[in-house]
Amino acid sequence: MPASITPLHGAAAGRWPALLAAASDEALLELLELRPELQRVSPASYEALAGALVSPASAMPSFQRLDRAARQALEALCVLGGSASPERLAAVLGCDRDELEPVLDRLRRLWLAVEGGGELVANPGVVAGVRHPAGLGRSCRSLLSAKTSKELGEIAARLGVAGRGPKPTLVEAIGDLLADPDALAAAFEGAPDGAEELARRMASSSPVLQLGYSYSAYERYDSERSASGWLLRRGILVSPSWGIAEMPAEVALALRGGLVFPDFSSRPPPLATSPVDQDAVDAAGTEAALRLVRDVFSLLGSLGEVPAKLLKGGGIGVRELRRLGKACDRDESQTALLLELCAAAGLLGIEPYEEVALPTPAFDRFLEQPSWHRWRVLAAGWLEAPLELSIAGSSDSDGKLVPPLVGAGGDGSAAARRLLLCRLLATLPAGQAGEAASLANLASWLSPMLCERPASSALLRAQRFLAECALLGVSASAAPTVFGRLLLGGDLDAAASLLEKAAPPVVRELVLQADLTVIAPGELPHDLRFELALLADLESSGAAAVYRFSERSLQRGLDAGRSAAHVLGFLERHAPRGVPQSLRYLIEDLGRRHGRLRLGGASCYLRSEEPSLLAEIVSTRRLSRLGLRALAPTVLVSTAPAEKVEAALRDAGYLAAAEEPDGTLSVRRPAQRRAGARGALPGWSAPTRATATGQGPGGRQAGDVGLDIGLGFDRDLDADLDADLDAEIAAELGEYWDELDELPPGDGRHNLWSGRDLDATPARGTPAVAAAAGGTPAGGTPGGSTKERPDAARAFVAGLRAGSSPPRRPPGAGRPPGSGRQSGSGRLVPARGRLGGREAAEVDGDRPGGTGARRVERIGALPWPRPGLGRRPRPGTIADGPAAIHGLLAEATSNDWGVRACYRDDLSGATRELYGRPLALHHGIATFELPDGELEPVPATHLVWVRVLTEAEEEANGLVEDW
Amino acid sequence: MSGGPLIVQSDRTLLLETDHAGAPACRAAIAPFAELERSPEHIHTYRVTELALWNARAAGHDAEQVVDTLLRFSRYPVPQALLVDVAETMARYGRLSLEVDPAHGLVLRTNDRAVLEEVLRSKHVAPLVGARIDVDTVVVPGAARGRVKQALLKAGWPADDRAGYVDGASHPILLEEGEDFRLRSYQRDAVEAFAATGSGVVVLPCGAGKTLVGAAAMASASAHTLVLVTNIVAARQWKAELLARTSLTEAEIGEYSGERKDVRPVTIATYQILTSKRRGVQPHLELFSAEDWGLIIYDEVHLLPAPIFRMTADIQSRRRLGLTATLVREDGLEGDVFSLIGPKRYDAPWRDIEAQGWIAPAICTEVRVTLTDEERMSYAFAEPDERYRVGATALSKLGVTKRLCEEAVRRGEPTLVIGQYLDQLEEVATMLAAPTITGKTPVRERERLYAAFRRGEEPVLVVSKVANFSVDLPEASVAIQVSGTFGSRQEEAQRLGRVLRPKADGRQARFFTVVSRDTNDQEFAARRQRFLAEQGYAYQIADAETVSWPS
Repeated sequence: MPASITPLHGAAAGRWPALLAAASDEALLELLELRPELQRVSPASYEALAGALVSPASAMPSFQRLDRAARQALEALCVLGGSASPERLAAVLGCDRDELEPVLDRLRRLWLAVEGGGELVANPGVVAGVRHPAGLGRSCRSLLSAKTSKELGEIAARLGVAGRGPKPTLVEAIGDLLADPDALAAAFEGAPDGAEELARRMASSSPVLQLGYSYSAYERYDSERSASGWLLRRGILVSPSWGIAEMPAEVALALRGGLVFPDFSSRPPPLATSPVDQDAVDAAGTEAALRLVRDVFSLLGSLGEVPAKLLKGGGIGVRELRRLGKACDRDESQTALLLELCAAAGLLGIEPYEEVALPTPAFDRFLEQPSWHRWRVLAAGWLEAPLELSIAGSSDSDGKLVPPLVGAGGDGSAAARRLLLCRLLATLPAGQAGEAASLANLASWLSPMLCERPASSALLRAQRFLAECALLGVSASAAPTVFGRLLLGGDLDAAASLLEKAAPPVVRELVLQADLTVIAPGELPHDLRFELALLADLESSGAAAVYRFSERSLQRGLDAGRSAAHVLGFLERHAPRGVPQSLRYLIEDLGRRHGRLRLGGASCYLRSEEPSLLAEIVSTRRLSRLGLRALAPTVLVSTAPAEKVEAALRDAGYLAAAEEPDGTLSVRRPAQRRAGARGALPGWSAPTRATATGQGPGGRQAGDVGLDIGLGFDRDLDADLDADLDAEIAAELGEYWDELDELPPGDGRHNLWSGRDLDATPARGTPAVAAAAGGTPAGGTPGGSTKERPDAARAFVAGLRAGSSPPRRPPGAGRPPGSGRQSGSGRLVPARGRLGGREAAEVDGDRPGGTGARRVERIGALPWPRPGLGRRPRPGTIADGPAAIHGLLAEATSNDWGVRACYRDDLSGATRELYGRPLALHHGIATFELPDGELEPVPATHLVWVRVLTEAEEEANGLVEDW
Repeated sequence: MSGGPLIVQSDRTLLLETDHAGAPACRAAIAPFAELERSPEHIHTYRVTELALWNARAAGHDAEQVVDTLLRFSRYPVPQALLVDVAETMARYGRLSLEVDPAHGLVLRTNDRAVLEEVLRSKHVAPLVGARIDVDTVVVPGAARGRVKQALLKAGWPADDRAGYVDGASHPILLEEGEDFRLRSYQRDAVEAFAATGSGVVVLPCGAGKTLVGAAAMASASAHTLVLVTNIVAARQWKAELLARTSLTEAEIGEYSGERKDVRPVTIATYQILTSKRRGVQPHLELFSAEDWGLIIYDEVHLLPAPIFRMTADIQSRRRLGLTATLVREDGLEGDVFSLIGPKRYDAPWRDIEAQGWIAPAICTEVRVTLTDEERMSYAFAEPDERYRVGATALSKLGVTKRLCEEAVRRGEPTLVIGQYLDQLEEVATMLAAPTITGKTPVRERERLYAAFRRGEEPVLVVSKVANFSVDLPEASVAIQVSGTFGSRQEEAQRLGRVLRPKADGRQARFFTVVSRDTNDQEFAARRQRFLAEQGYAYQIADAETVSWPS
């Protein structure tokens, strides 16, 4: 049933304050909880709150995070003019009124739609913010009215409509025909190739088509033979302005079969499963986990010996990957992923001066731990990595390998998306395997924002996620392993200890055999392995290790200072079955011969035919600092340079005639190199903090919060995290969860995240939101009621009811002065002086008792914040491509530069440009502060290019600092 | 995880803990698809190679069985990559098969067109095949059968040879088993494994009765048989063994050598005569086509010379049996043995057969001799290419050799002194007043000396490397090696084999290798010993001054 289309108008904002006043405390508290940025509104009046509530800056982010059903319902409501009865909305969506109810409830709780007088009213912020609701263009009437009668007559003639009459009649007639699916289908008779395809594509994606501005393009779209031209000449597309074609909403609806959303489903799609052998899955996963640990060991070990050179543009190139891949027997793309994972786990860093990648000191600690613990370090790194790790090593659009360590894959939403997929995978019952496509479908339904940008990649991302899971042993054949399930549920410790049980035992006993091999039938502790690797050559590795002694290998040990007796003693201690005689003989024989020929370093020598003269010199006290040593009665050597020795001798009254010097220094076992702490990759090392402090399963991603709400996770733990995110997804996920009725309720879930060191984890909020969020109480008992509301919100509501501002907090305990201010309309205005991480920390420090210490890290989610060495020159380059844009935005953000950005409009697909100052790139949304102080959120994936403004441009565009 | 006896490594090696209760079952289960690489005292190493997997596939095992075996016996989780690899490798075998088409004769047929297209585009395969019959089939000239198999193996798509064998001219041969002689169980297993397929290699230690496996194979084929051996002495011994153990008579067995060129229903020929050249051609290779052979036996197949490989490629329709103590080839032609002679059909670790009492237990001792200062100086001043000889033939070795020989004679042990360098052997012989056998010794004289040695009239024989192979000296129980061929592993194995034949009274065999300390003789000795050490023979190391009779 085609919906009648009315042009969009902003719904009257006038009644919103009254609605707020009429709402219960509970509803207001829930609103403030779900949209905590609203707590910033000052004064706490219903008018101000309503103003903020219906501003696109506040409403759009909430809209973006809706699940697909709620999002589509809201868009359909916009299509219906911003208000309609629930029945009508259900009819337009093609579903039952009852079925729609839970969807509407989600909208109501967020105040994205309110109900009054039997009418459902969309939040005007959304109505204004969504440019093409449901991907529909303007109505036929409004588009065609701009055409001349002559043009309309031609269109009508081509369509076979009676082509006479006044203009409104013509428009009406054409509109009626185009709105009729059958007539429309008939109209495509005789269309040139591609015309119908183009029309269908536009109907299902974007109503606006860029035609191009050139004369030849004009010719093309004025032609019967080109697809767009043919459509334009029949009103199926209309060109409202030069170079643009728009599809009338009626046409798109007819092509969609009359429904606004043919794919609307009020309930999430089911997760397809297939039975698997759980034991086989567990075995495969365990093996993968152990192999990963081994491979990381050999990979970083070889990197420690020969560091990998970075490419000019950053990252590690294919040649180095190939070399490193040999060390761990993996291909380049897997090696790239491993490196990225190591970086995420804080084991790999950059030495900036030599421009090489090296293991960090954390790797040395890593080495000393047993396998299961090493796996835990890697798994923690993976869980919290801000990047989509397997972008590195995948092929880019040119088919070239994306190098690791360039920060690719960081659209800001990677961690949140990973968490979502983790939770979904964990819902699979034991013995059941999921499937990438179905997982992608469900994830997309739950969070179109996280998973559908760009639309085609949801499946790819699910596949990559499963590949990463397989790498870690978290899943095998898309079924979670028994320990993987624990990890997916967030219990890293339990997962690691399960793995410990399955892993080969740590052995301190070696089997020595007469063929000079030595076998360790399990995992060797680090000290033993280190010693063995020195004395023998590794022949085979895996769950066990086989080494072989040879003269050469033992020589290496003797060179490193071991004596034959030491070696034998070491072997006897660790070989309960004894040392075979042939090996004993080899060692003793070599020990006997070792040192028969000596090699040393000296920088000069003294030679004399008179031993007495040399003896005299050696015993001269003032020459002792030369370190003279008699090798033979007639030869002395010194480690001091010849010139120095000569001068000292001269001073002491001896004259030495110069001979040609000789002597070289032997190079012994090269030391393992490490990157200094300064080289740690900032964007990757999130979990290092956690693992370094040894506290719980590490820091967490801000995006967890929303999910936790929905999942019933402990609210208080989330108090100082970035609560503006994903609340809706989470709510939906929670409902989905309940529907599945999978997880046992109660303590099991509440304890999942306990024990983490939240203070050590700076929240990565957008400054605008983070700076303003008031303190929320810490110290709530884990597992406490989720109904408990934060005090700040209570205070705010109390303020509202009293018609006054909330009580000011004690100095230093509240929001920093100027961190946010309010414009006349109640719109949110960000603080100019954004907080650096340190300032925020100081603020926290001032706060007595630390009420839910909330910290601002300066754009912590961005990789590669360049160290601010004075004022950096502004780059003049235009960044395109996600990685480059990401990098440039990061740089601009940390340097306070304004930018000019070109982006694709959310629904129309048209490109637009803005001048603004980037504030944050977080969860896939780049937030720009426009010259008028308004915030413009743009999905990062929609950015086409970004350029840093010159100072002159900033001034011209009203972006100067002191406004 | 189960506490199985096997550890599966990611580099495709399998470590089998021999003391584990499940080890025997595990060994039997993995033997079809893994090659025993070394079997020292505690943990044996097997390797899952492509050849081994194809072998297993040829013998009717499938990937599922292999994977199941690995999972069942493995102590720790099995590397997934290996399991996938096993399945993929095994699936490569049999995509192509050589068959006999009633209309076109020998054809290469596929059940996977892409594979056929791939190999037909290979420049190694394309010239060998004939016309394309249909999309799945291409004609192969009969003479190219072996070379096609070689090329396909190299391309990684080994062909399943289902074209069968010609029976050859029939000739009844019976094995005369009786009270005093029965085939041992492992010999019977080996013959059965071979007979079931018609071509392949049987690996048995020296002294384990390979000749009898050959005789039994002849009996099962009952056809004209060509036996290829390394030298004339070995040929005579084969003949003697065949006369004793089968229904064959003197008149039915021909010798084809430098001295005699009889072609009879059973003909024993030496590698040497077959490869000898006259005016640039090898006229005796014709022997392969001189008769309608139903079976060709290659003794010591690890020594098979290249021309015979080439000839063998042309006679792929004949049944072929390779016999050897070791598949290790110093020239790395194991793949050719696989595709031309056939896959390994039977293999048993030396220690196992020794444990069953079929070969004499041996004690190996490396005696290290400290050179005199003069000898060390002459070693130091020797040209690099002379060094080994100077070190290996040091006169200091004579003293300890003499003492050992005297001790052996005193104990009534028949003793062989084996060496590489003739002048050194002459010195030893002079010192011991013992006869020398070298390549120059006439065959008649050799046989006389062997006979005298057997009767105990000559307690000590000094032999050059001519005695390396196939001399049957049942009563030799002590071997003293004074010098060897650089680092040849198979030579050391062969020499040890001289003393491994079971002794009448169950005495222990003793093998001494005399080595000059601090010279490259010592390094080469270590390399030579590697094979035996891997087979479980632990060398005791002793000092020349203090060496005592090992027990």
